[in-house]
Amino acid sequence: MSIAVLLKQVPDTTAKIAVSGGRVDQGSVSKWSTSPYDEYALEYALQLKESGAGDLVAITCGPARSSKMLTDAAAVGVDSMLHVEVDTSEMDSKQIQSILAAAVKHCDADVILCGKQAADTNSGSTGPGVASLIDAACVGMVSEVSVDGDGFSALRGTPTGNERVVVSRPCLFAFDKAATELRRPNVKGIMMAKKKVIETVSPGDLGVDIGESGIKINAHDSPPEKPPGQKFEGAESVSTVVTKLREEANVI
Amino acid sequence: MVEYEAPLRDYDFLFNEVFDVTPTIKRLGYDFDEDFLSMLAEGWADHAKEVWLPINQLGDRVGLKFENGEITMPQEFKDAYKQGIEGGWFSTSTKPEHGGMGAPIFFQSVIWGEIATATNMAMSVLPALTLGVYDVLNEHGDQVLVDYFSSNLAQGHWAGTMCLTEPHAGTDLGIISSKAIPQDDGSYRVTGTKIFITYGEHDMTENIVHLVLAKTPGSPEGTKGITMFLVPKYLPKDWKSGDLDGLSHDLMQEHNGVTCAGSEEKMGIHASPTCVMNFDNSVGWRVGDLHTGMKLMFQMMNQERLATGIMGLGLAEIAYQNSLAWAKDRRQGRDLRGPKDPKEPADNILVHPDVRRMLLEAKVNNEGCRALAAWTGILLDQMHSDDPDEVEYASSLVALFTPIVKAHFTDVACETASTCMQVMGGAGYCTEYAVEQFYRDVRISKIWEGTNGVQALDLAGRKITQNMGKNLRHLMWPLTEFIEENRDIPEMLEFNKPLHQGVRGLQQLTLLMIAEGQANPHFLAAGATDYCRYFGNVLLAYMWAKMAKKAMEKKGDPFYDAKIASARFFFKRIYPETVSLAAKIQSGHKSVMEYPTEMF
Ligand SMILES: Cc1cc2nc3c(=O)[nH]c(=O)nc-3n(C[C@H](O)[C@H](O)[C@H](O)COP(=O)(O)OP(=O)(O)OC[C@H]3O[C@@H](n4cnc5c(N)ncnc54)[C@H](O)[C@@H]3O)c2cc1C
Repeated sequence: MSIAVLLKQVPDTTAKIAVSGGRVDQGSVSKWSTSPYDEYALEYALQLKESGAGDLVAITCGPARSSKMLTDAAAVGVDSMLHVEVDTSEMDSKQIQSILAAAVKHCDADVILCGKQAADTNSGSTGPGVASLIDAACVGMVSEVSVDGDGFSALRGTPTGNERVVVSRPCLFAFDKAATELRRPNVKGIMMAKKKVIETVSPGDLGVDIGESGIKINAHDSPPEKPPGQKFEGAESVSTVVTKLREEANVI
Repeated sequence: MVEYEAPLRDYDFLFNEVFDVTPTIKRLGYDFDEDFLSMLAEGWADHAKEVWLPINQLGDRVGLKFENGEITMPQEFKDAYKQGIEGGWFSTSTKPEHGGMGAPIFFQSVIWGEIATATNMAMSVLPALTLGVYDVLNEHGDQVLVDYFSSNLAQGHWAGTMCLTEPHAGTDLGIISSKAIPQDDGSYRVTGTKIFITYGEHDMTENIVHLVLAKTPGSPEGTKGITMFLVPKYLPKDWKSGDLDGLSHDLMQEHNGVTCAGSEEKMGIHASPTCVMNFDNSVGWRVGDLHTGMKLMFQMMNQERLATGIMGLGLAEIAYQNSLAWAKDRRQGRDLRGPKDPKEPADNILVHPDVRRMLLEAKVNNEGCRALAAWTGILLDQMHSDDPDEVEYASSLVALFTPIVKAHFTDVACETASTCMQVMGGAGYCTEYAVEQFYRDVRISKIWEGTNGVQALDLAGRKITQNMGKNLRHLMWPLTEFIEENRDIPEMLEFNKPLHQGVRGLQQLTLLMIAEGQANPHFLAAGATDYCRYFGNVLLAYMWAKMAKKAMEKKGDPFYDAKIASARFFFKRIYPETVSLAAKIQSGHKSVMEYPTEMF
């Protein structure tokens, strides 16, 4: 059995997002990146692989451009890559979960790592959704995971502090931000990644019938512009700042 | 906070859209595609930004320490260098059999070079010199030398230097006095003093491999009598005599008669050692044939000259980015046509035409130089083609472009760094903002690897007539074809027409330089620097016209619209200097040479 990490390609957090015709204009996004929480999932997936928990496959479900992200993952050490090539922009969470669950089964993986939510939709449903479809234990808000005997030990955040849980296979970990350094690809990794072939399939190839979307997106809108920040200089502005913090920002 | 974003979008535009590099590189036998290029570029940009940039200022302030003949580098530099080796970032273009990655040369020479020098110029010269030594050795060294030294050089475990300059012999290397005495066992004993040797001594690597120019007994006068020798700082532990066949890489404790007598205090690159090196009966081996030293060193120098031009670009780019970031926050004065931000006490300084002029001169020159660098980088790969015609074409153009890339890029870069400082007013002069460091660091680029004056002479006196004028012909053919192709395209008129005029001017000036220069070499030498700048401008004009043409295909997208606006700025506000340059060249040498020397 192997380990799978689920990755989603999203507009980079520094990219400008334009809306046109009621939809985010994907063509105008200057830079696409791996969703930040997924990067932590990838880092811990690599650590699990290195401690002998199994081979690691990176899976994504998205349009053709997402394959670059899988090659990036290969450059840091992922063994194989599966790309379910499909336009997900009008799909609902359930459809995407069923594709990913089928992809996980296709790869024979029983330990799954993913981000707790994607940086574009922020819906947070993928991890728990996939876990329930494949009948796996689901641990959310994870900031650390390691091999523990036949199972795994994970640290997860709760409103009152951290909790350490131990689970056995099959299981899914949905990652929060973690206190670990993310590894960067080196030249050797990049050369190796170039030689690895991405397995590209359609949902049909995996035998999933995704049905109709249960949700219809009416329109995307840009968020209202934030009011400009205010700058205060010198000791004489302290009382103004205090008043503003108390009366406008309601923080003190 | 020092700002820096590697110009990855620009590389993508240049390599993939303007020059469509993938088919060429695949044809040359590389397993290569766009994704691979972007991964390497992003990977290196991340590494340089995270590991090199944060210690650049420290290198400037703390610098190196010289004590008892030894140079100690800041610990942070040693750590960063080690990380670079581990990541394979110094071995992208070296051969796989030496532990290198065998990636195309253009990545290392252009993208690696620009990002490296921008983020930490003092550090960047160490791997750059090492690679130069590796390349010369592999092309011309005996197999035993190649076998012994290549792997450690290819991966950066050992460092390299080039030792040409002596106290009395800088530009004029024909008069060097370092000596090499042949021994019965085939080795030589090298004795002499070299000065200004970059990374001549340091503790970043366990061994340092010097390529030393010296003369053997009875060799001809001048540069014709110079031979190249490889002299390591430490010899192999088990070496007694003869060659290095089969010896281990464990080193002797005692140095090989190679000592450092001091390191210069200087204006910039404080963390790059500039050493006085003494070779005292040091064991060395000949590289290449007797009396071919200058030719071989020129091969290395040509590579370093291109690297130096790109170094100018790297520093000009980071200077621009930092002055721009500062300018975007600075409010002074009002837009002359009425306040832009009436609610604020003053408008942002980008409302002022003069500030915009300065920033645009910097940006547009940088992007133009980057395009020419990209083209030159691809030509470096084409020089290794199996097709002799392609090799001849690429070699001719690289020969022609080398002095221009070195001199024009670094002249413009020094002006750019100064202009960027000017954008920032008093803050630009203060150490708190990094631009003053970039201004100091970049200044050496006009001097080393042959001063820019010498580059101009190389262009005007050698490169344009070399190979019966073939170098120039290889440029003029595609250039005139491009002009013809665009003659009837209305949107291209504003770029194509001045380009055509400049090319005609260049042809006339070239004829003038050759004809008058034959009659009187002072004519040629007096006009060489202006001629080189004229030539640089024409090449950048060609680059801008090409970029504008490409950008027109995607009009409406801000990136491409900006390229067209930049091309417009270049032709309207930078390129017209060719008119005054032509006038200066045509005025000849008399006002220069007839000036009474005693009145200086
Ligand atoms: C920081 C630093 C690092 C260096 N690193 C190295 C290194 O690693 N290895 C190495 O070998 N050297 C190195 N050098 C030396 C450098 O390459 C020389 O300083 C440079 O080539 C100029 O030589 P010079 O200083 O003797 O100047 P000079 O040759 O004395 O030149 C003085 C002036 O005369 C002009 N001039 C000289 N000859 C002519 C001519 N024939 N026609 C027209 N004009 C002429 C020059 O352009 C210059 O303006 C380094 C220098 C510095 C400052």
